[in-house]
Amino acid sequence: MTFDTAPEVEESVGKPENSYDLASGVVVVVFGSAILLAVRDYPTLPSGELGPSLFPGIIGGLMILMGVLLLGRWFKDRKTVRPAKEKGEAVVWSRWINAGLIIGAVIFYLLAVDFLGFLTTVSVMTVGLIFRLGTKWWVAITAGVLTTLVVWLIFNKVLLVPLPLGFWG
Amino acid sequence: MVDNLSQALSMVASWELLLVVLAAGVYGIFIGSIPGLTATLAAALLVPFAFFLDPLPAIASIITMSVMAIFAGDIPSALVRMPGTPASAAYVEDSYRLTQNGRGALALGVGLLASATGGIFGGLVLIFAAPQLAKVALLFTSYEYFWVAILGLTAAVIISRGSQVKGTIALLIGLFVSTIGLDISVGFPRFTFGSSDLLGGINFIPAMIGLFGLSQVLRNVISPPPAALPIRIESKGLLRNAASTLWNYKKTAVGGNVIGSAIGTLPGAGGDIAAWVAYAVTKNGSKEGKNFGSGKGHIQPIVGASSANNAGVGSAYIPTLVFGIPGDTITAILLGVLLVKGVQPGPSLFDSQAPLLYSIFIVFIAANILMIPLGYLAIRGSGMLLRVPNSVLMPIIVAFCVVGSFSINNGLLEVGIMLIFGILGYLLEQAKFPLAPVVLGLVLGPIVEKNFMQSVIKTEWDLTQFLTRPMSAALMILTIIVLLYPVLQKLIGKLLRYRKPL
Repeated sequence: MTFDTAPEVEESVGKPENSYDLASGVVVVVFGSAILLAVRDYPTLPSGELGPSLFPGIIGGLMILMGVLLLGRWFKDRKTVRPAKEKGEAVVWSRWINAGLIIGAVIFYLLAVDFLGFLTTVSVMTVGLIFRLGTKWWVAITAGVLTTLVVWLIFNKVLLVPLPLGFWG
Repeated sequence: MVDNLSQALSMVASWELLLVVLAAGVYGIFIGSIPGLTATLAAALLVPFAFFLDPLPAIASIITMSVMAIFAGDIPSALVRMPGTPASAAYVEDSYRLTQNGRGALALGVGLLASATGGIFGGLVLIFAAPQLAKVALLFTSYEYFWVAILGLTAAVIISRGSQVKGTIALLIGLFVSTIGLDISVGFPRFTFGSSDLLGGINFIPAMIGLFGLSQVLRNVISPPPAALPIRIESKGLLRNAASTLWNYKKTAVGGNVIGSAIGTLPGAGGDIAAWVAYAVTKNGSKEGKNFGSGKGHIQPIVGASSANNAGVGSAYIPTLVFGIPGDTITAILLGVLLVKGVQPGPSLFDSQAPLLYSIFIVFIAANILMIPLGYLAIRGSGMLLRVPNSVLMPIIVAFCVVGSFSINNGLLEVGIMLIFGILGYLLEQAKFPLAPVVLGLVLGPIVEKNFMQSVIKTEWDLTQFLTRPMSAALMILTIIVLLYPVLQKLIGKLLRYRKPL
């Protein structure tokens, strides 16, 4: 069984993923160490053996090991890293803003739903996002409001989930 | 057996189930045929619905959806040269070239019939192999379950595409998240930061919705798939031509079925890996092999790989139902749902809940038969399916991600978990970490820990039991073989290379 036809095309041309290896290696090592620190004062079993700390301890230790291996690989391959692709900066920026807005929309739901209620919050979220992602305003309003109503009907009326009413209730 | 079967038939023959299966089928085709939306994403978004259904309709909806989505992934491959799901990626070049040469209908028709027969083959493998394995599994104790879970974790890392170090890290992340909450040996709160909401641990469902739903939306808006207008295809006589072509390549199809079923049973390996392996095998075994993916396109690799990816869907349920070890990400999600529903997969399922089990078998076969008419309609309406703009679709998915995770517990904590895992999933994929091991770690972590702690507390830390019990030892040796597989593969490769010049 070989996977030589699998789509590892990118790997053969200058290892572009390598640029992430340094950052991910460091994060993994730090995170593993944090786990080890946290489980230091966990209680032991009544018989004196390791209990709650055993598994997280092993996970933390292995994380440090794997992180170091990743860093080692980064160090070995660092010369062959292909320079980051130069794209139209402006285009990429607007996409990052879109991603930020999606994350923002979920945070908006978390903050606003108890006050504004489900229907208002999700309408604002979907209409806003659809408009921002490049659709005419009337399409955005129709599609956004319709989506909200469909979701509300399915979850509230069919599946009987008590969605927050907010100040409407 | 006959008694169980008749009971199962009466369970399956209900309007509710029929409706659920039909709706899930249409949903699966829709998501599967949109490039960038995977079958796993479809499963994660389906879970909030399945959560409110009875066990059988819940399982049936996920089975039907995944079967349809894996086929529907072929549609955009042929029309716009983009696989709808990773399972169709292996033969995208052949499909597209066939379409350019006016044979797109044949490519899709053959894909449809090969998928349906492959799915039925995988279903039959499941029906016959699972009860036999369950007999073995009945003899298992906590020691064996520990090793089976470890074997699952090991296989998940070894099979995952790309770097194994990264696969291991992904697995460790999943395992770590599974330790959050009260520990099972003395009930000590771990990593809860004093929050009482986290005592019960991280809810699996919002984590999955974030990892596969929200993260995919982020990926799509940051690097949107290029827009391409689908090529129109002529669907006249589609099924008849496809059937005769498939018959001409019946050996290839059976080969694909066998490969797909075998790979599907491996934990962590799903339809996509099955398709790649079947593609490679078909290529090596064909006189035309070196021309695959070029020229006018070839139908043979489509037969092989398309049979394999759907056969893998069925056999992935073997380890899931017999050992409670998921065979791929979709079955991992299903396992999460089953546990919530109070259905504990494992050998006892074959005994105590035999009618439910037989119903699952029936649904499998029925879903693959239903795929033919639904798939036919999808091929005919494919132009329309591919015209749904991303700008509308992505916010709708965000809305479903939010409401889906909220509805699990009527709480905002779940929405927060979904958000965190969404960002995590995006970052991991960006840095080329596979996501499947994260899911397996999440699902298998508690199983590994529980069985280990139970075993050592039972015997007062006599670890030799893990090694000296015959079945334990056998499973351990199997784990070591899997672990050494990459090394063995290199060694064998080297030996063969040394032999050649002689």
